[in-house]
Amino acid sequence: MENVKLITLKERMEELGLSFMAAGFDSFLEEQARNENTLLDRIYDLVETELIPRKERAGKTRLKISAIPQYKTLEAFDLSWLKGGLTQEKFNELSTLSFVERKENVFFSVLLGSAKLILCRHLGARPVFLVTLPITFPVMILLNL
Amino acid sequence: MIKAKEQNRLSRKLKWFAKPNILLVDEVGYEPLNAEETHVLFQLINVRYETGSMIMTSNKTFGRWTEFMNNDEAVATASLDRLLHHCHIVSLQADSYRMKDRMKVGAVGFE
Repeated sequence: MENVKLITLKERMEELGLSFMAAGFDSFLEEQARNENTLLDRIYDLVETELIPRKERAGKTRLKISAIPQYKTLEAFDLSWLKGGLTQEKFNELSTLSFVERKENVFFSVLLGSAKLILCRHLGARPVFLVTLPITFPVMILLNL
Repeated sequence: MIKAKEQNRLSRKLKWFAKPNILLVDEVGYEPLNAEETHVLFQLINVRYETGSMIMTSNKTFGRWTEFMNNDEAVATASLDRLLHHCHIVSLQADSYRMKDRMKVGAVGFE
């Protein structure tokens, strides 16, 4: 009886489009059997089993259509190459992406080839995604996951 | 966006551009814009103003924006006004980042 209920429950999840939750439900139950979490914690964990992979999948899809040739991390960016204009402090501040929460802009002003787009790509490798559009001026969109 | 405008879909496209948390526009001013493109760029900046961040890169100083924006001083000023209201301006000074590794090993030089 329990088994039938379990199968039905997973089918219901699939019907609701919660495929990650359905796929991870068995391991979720096993994990919950081993801990003493509150009901609220358990519901929270269950929702997370759907939400986290969904965000990852959305990010991957958007990166795929972004047409950004390569993704690098900010950690790999060689700040010492710059001769000025961007302090370590400012670099650290920008890398937190707190300006995004405050809806502020960032303007990189520099001669061609001096790392501004590379910096942007590094920023784009944070938990955000990019899309490019063919218009007169190249536009890339970064969307938060 | 120009294509969207021609097909009377610009307002829908602008709404789409308003959604992302960050909009990155690269090499602004690299190519001069005609009157239509200038207005589209302004509308883009306007739709993003205080609704989401923009990252822009350009080799043009702000004083030269009128030049590539079809010499339309009013639109250039209005664009910069919105763009720079809440803005981190980073003026990078460096040689070519792409060439740095080759320069380190002495493969190329700028002299």
